[in-house]
Amino acid sequence: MSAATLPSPASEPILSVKDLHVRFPVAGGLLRRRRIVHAVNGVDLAVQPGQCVSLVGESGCGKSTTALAIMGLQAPSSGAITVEGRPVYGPGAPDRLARARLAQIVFQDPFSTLNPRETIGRALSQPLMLHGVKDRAERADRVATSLRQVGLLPDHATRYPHEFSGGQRQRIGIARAMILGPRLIVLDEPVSALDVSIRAQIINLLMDLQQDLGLSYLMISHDLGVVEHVSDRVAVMFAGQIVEEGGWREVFTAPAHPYTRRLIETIPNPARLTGGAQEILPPAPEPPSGTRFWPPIGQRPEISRPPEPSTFMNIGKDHRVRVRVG
Amino acid sequence: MSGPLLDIRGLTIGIPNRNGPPLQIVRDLSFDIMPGEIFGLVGESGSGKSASALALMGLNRRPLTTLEGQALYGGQDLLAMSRRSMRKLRGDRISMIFQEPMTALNPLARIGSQIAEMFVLHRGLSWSDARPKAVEALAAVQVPDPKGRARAYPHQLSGGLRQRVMIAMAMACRPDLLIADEPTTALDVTVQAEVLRLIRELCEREGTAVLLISHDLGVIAQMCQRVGVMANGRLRELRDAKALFTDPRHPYTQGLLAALPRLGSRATEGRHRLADLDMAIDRDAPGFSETYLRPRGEAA
Amino acid sequence: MRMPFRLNLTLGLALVSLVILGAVFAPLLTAHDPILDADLMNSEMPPSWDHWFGTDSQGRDVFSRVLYGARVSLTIGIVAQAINSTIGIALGLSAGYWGGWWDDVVNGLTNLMLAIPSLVFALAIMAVLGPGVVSLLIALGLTNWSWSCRITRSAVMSLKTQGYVQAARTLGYGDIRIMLTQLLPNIVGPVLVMATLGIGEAVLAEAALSFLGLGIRPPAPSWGNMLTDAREAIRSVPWATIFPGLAVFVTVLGFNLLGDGVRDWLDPRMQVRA
Repeated sequence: MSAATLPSPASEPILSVKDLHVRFPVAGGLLRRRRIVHAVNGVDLAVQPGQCVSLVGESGCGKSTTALAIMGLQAPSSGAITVEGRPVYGPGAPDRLARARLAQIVFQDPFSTLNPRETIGRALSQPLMLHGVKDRAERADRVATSLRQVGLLPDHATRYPHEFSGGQRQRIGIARAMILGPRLIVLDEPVSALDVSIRAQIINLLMDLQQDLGLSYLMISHDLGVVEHVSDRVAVMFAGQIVEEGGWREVFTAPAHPYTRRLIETIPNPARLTGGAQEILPPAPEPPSGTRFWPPIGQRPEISRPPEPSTFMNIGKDHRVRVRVG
Repeated sequence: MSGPLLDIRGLTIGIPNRNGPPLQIVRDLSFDIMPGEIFGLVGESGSGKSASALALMGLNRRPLTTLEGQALYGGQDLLAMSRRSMRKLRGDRISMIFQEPMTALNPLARIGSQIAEMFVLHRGLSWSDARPKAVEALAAVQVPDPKGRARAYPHQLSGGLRQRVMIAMAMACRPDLLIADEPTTALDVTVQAEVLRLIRELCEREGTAVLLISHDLGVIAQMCQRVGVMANGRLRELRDAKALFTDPRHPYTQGLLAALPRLGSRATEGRHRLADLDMAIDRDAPGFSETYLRPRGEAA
Repeated sequence: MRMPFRLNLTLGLALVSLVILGAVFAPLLTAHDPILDADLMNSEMPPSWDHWFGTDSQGRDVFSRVLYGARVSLTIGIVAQAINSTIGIALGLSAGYWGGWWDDVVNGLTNLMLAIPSLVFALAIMAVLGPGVVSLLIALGLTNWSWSCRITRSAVMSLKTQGYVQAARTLGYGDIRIMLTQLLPNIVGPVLVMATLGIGEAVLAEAALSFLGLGIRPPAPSWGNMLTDAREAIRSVPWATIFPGLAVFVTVLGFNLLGDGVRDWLDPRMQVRA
């Protein structure tokens, strides 16, 4: 159990995203105009130390773009991202080495996440060398430690990626993300490509590491079962905006936004068949008076225009939802 | 009560080995599918579920070979059938949809003609008669603006629409059996829900039986009347879906269900460690290979 | 799995070393001087114990000319292709990885190079620089990099979105380090095969330029000018063209097999762990 379910207002967030916008041009055909895709529109996020915050949504909702922006891999159009109080972009941003020690990322696909031409040992020790660990023995030591931490053997360092299974590769990806000792790890669909049994092992590993090393996670996922299981806070993203945000209990037991409700209702759940207590959601709450939930989810979201103005409103102690006044 | 639509007995698939016993991917698989039933086959990657489905369609690629077994359909053994008669059956009486519709559709042909081809091939219609039937088929899978979409190419459609097109093609000739191999794995959850509902409604209306293959226990639970659980090439448990999910008997099924982070479980059970299937069961133990099976129609 | 790639590597290595050893130890392998031993009395002699490959129309020993010619042809083939590959890989890697205006520039340059036949381009350079080995190296080394560049660029474009390249960026790897340690090892296969084909092409191009009088000046032997010298008498003195032709063939084949073999050998997936 993470103690951070009660976030103390005094603590400085490890990750803070404020009003993040990402737009990019998409080349049209020869005769078509260049379009602008509004991928992320005003996202606010905060991850407190030791917390796991999940960003949930379907493909194209902007959750992965947000992750890339946090990792410095996709320049934002506007907005501020800080990790441990240091801005990722703009004046005062740390150089790429300092930034690397602040946050790391674990990718979805266990097969493309490792360089097929590099041994595991080299993939893990090269970053150390780059970051000034000149002593060979110390590097080998740290590689062995991190391999053990993720449930592999130090001997595995001499092997190439193709000698490992998907689950083992994902473990190596996690070891690589931890090797520089960052406090924040972005998990981009860390278990979606894995089998059920492997998935459980990786989720357990991630929860153990979080507890043992005091890591903070920002998890990007579409798998609500996994999200509910590991998250302290949940933010639901739709069409480039966060439409609902709150503690996991609030979002999962009393979802308010129609989109969140649809996500939860449509996920195929064996509990429904066995008559689990949670099969039926409580009735949808009314939006605060004089407002309606926004954006409407009837039609496909329009991403070639900026979204219409809306506000994020508190509807509970630790629960906010996007509405439109009037 | 009529007999089963498809009766699979002792299906064994493997790679022949000149110097010894063949490497077996699927061993002694037996189950049957009743007319109009949705039968689920669930398992992890490498369990042999997809190889079994492809074997029924005669689509396994060398060196994978069907070594033993029968698949009786209307008195004929699908596994012993000539390629020619298999081709006739395929797409007409038994059809199949795949995980990634893009690989199953011809990228250079309009989807209308691809669906129309099914009528030309299997019903002997002329192209001019088949085209309006293709538009009807698109309307039946609830594709908006079927007339316009019939002129589109596969890459112009979203993943969900492409899968609907695949379903339209598969259902064009009102088959007796639809084999759906991970039909919604590549789709978003809300789209998945729509596609699953569509498959169920269409098959109910046409009386088509479905062999649904998936790794997703949720999808299986939602769709199927009976379920077979496969692991390491063998069927481990074959039960009514409700019985399987409420009272799993085989250690593998029990482990699989315990390993699943179930939506709604945290409120009651807290943030617990998930069961580690590999720790909980020993796949090499003698007891593991003993399949737990229950005959059809057991009391739940 | 293991057998065919061993065969490629071994045979390629054998053929290439045969040619290289012949070139290096030419003085020890033949008693005849390739240029000075012109004996018109003994011209156009078929292969014999004294002249293994026969003699040409000027009575020079074909065997010794093939051996000494190997020195010129191999040097030009290998060095010119090394220059080509270096240019092609450097441009392709940087253009594919960085993209943007630099990619447009490199693309334009590549298209330009592909539009002009490389031999015509080389001819123009030779015309400016004059004949000689160094001019040949420059002319052939600057004009045949476009395919290496194309292949490298397209491979990089698809590789750069892979997780491990992204991970390297987040770990603080610099661009050059990413190109050299993450991308280059993964494109070495097609680039190597390209390079070995290029060596063969360069050997042939040298022959063509020498034929036009812009390459190696006769009487110095190169396989190219040996072929062109003897082409008029191909019916009456076939050995004077067959043997240099065979030398070109063996060299090109050897390098191609070697390229295949090395590509497989470098790929850790092809290795069998004991």
